Amino acid sequence: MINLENIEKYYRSGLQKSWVLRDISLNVDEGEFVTIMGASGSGKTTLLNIIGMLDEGNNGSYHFLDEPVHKFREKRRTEIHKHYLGFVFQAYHLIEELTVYENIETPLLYRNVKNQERKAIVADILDRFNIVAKKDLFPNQLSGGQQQLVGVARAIIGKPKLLLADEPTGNLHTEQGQMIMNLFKTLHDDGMTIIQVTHAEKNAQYGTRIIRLNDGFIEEDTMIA
Amino acid sequence: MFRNYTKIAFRNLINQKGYSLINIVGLSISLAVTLLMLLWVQDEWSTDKFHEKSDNIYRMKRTIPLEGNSLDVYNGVPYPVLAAAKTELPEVIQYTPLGRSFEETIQREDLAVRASGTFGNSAYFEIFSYPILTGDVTQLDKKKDAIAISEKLAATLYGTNWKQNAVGQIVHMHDIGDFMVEAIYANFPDNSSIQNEFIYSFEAQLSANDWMLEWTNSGSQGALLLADGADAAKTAQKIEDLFHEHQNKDRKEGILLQKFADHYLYGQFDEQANVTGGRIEYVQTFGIAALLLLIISCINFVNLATARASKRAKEVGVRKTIGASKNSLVTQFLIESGMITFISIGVAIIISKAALPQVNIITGKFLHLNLSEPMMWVGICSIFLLTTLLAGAYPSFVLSRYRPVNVLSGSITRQPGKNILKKGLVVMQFILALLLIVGALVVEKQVQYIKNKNLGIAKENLVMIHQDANITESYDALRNELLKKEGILDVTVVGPSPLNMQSSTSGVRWPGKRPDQENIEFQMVWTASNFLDVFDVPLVSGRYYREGSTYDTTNVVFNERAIEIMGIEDPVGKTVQWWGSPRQIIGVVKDFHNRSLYEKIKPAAFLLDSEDAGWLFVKSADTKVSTALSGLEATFKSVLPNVPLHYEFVDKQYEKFYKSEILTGTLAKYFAVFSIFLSCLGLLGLSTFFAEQKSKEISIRKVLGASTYNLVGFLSKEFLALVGLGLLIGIPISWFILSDWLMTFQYTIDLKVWMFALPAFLAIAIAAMTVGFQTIKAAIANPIMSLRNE
Repeated sequence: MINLENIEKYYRSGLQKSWVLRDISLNVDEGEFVTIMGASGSGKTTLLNIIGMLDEGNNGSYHFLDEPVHKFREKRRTEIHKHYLGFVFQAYHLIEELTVYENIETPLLYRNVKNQERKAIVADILDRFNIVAKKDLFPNQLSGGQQQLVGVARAIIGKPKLLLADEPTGNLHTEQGQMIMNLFKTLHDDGMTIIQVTHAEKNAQYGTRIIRLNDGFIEEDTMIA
Repeated sequence: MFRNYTKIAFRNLINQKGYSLINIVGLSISLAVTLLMLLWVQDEWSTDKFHEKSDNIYRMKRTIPLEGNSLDVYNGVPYPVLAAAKTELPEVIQYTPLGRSFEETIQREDLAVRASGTFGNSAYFEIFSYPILTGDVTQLDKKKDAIAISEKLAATLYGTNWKQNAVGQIVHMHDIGDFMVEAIYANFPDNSSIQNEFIYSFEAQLSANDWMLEWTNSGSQGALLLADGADAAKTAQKIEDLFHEHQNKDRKEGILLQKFADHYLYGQFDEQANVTGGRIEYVQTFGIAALLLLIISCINFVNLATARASKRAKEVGVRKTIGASKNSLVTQFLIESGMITFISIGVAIIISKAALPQVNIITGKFLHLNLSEPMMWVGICSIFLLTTLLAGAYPSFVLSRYRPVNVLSGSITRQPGKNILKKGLVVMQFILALLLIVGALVVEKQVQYIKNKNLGIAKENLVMIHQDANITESYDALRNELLKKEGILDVTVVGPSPLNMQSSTSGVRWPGKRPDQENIEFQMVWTASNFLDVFDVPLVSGRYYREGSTYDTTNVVFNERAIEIMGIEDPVGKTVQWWGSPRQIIGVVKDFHNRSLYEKIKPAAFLLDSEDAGWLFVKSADTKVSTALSGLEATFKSVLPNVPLHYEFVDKQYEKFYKSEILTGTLAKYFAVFSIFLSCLGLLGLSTFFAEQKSKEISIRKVLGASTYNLVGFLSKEFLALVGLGLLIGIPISWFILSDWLMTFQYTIDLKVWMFALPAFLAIAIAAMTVGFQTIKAAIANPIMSLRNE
């Protein structure tokens, strides 16, 4: 599904290059649940952003479902975002002016899903995530865990092939964090491919594979049985 | 999707009350001004264009070759040229003489009303689209005592049943006699530059004014209706050829045909007789001023929207990651600005409706804001789209360009380029504001100058009364009675008004007159012997006319300018040829302004003739004007009991020349106030966001020991520098534009430094107060509050 070859990323400051990612080659198959780990500044968020097509490498090639992402124009990338990717953020990033219901509904609007169908899908997921009672509240009326729940609901409402999560539990209490991770596990069991970035060793155990980064290099790539 | 956008737009509107308010207030005001200006411009634009045959109606004008190769264009043409054009040329379908409208007392039995009108023939109603409601207008051509009156005048004279009662009735016109109402026409529309409540038979006019039949007398005006497809220039040439046959001079006068509908807005010609402008320049100036105001408030919108872009950046990032395309984001933000514009237009319509009566008083128009008219909505919708785009396009573009990877990690990189734009817009705003303020000031000063300028002739404490046959008849008795009244100093007759000499002749010859001086026009004014005393005009040499002297009617008095042109040394006692007979120069009068200040002082001849002078002038003592006026009224009642008295103050009459300038001055003042208000509204918004953004920095500085004074300085410095820069750039621009405007006058004020310094100082003071208010608020806030938020 994902094929990275010799991806490099650096920032130029004056004459010096400061390296973020070096020579990253990586394959991820459908159905995997990959955890990217590493110290602060090791480049894990940048790698996730490149995979999520929010950022680009300076060199190297990236194929997503055998399509060359590194050659995409913005329009095609928007298409991929719309149809294949879902994002979950550490800071939830819900749209403050929209209610829970409307936040979850928005990706479907961009997909031009018909009104009736949209209502059914959103109702279904509200039910599944147990947040029907909260649907008319605004994000600032929710707790962090609840907000992240909405964030995940929004990310998967369009049935993406790949779910990307950047420190999804970073702002949450342990208990809420566990709830989110269990949710991820369920999603994975249902066949979703997931890539997450985290600091917490415990969270990595929910997945099937751990990639450790150090100073921009892949230091270790292990499968969990 | 659309619903989702409007929902967000609406919630943002409510959540950001201050922001929305600044935008809506600013946009509403400028949109209201734009709307009102558009109404005015549209009214000016449509003037005289409603005639169905408009494309084929031409006004005949006359060109006079002057010294050098220059041409002068006059509206006056000889009547026979008009008539000959129709009889001789097949492409001329109709002609009509155009009389100058004048006020007249019309009497039906005991009921007397004042109305203005003129003479005409039935072709008048054939050429122009003034519909006849009842009666037979062709009687104007058949009967000398025929008159057509307007619906309004008919209703005043004959009540609501005028349609049955008016036709066939006799009305008495005080100056010209009895007439029979033969036809009633619909009131002339408001956007007709000609307004006549009565049109009496041209035959009557002709029989009382046989000079009109002379080929050499250009005292008439007229319009032609040409055949479809006729070439105006070629037709004019043919008419000119006809005209030339009747001129026995070397430098012959020419004929020019101007579209009747163009005459109103394009009344000025250059020395080659090409149209250079006219009233259209005022229309353009005001149109541009309204557009500038709209731009100022759109700049506010752009600046505020980009200033708070960081608040929206996260939303942009999120939306992009869940599949929003750039286009859909641009659409979303345009809908937001559209919503604000939409509300503002609603408010603007309400403001305009409320302000319209006042605007009509200022502009002297009858503008309507008619919302049931489809064209009105076309206008409103165009303004809506224009404003939405002007205000919304740039912010939407900026916002939709944000990259999620930057905004979501919370590190919006500050791009210096955007700040330059924001600063540039503030600078531009203040350039425009200064331009409008200085403009208002200079126009006002020039108008004051015109009003108060010493013309070399007295215009204060003088009233003028139109001299009709009755007054001429009883002049001596009237004068004797008037002089007995308290407060009345003197009485004289003059015609035309010496402040606006409108009668001229080229029939003056003098020894040494060069061929290229053949067409030099001398203004003529008919006076009584006491002219100089009443108007306080000094004599330079010789003497003025003696009272009761018949011999003096073969003499002539010139002004200095006339003597200068003729180049006669020691003029008193010399002889000139006046209309072919010799006249002796007995005196020279000091120059005074005898036309508007747009023009240089014209050469003028003063003739003795108190019979047909035209205007009775009554001079009163400085402090006893009202006593004098009641004396005047009493005298008229006793000497001329049947003649209603109508007088005008000469100085008020004089101000009417400058109606456009006075209007410009008034409007410029409004524009200036609005522009500075709107610009400061924008500054208020910007400084609020700026202070908010810098709240952390302020707190840290405060903790480090900065005083409130330091902080206010630190926060205001940047804004005031921008305002200052705008003003600095604005000064030369406004100097350039205004000195250009002043060039249209022959006599003007000088542009002084203070005229620019004062508005600049004012602008900076108001801006400092606006910014200061915000920054002081930010500077005295408790630092803990903003630091804890981090």
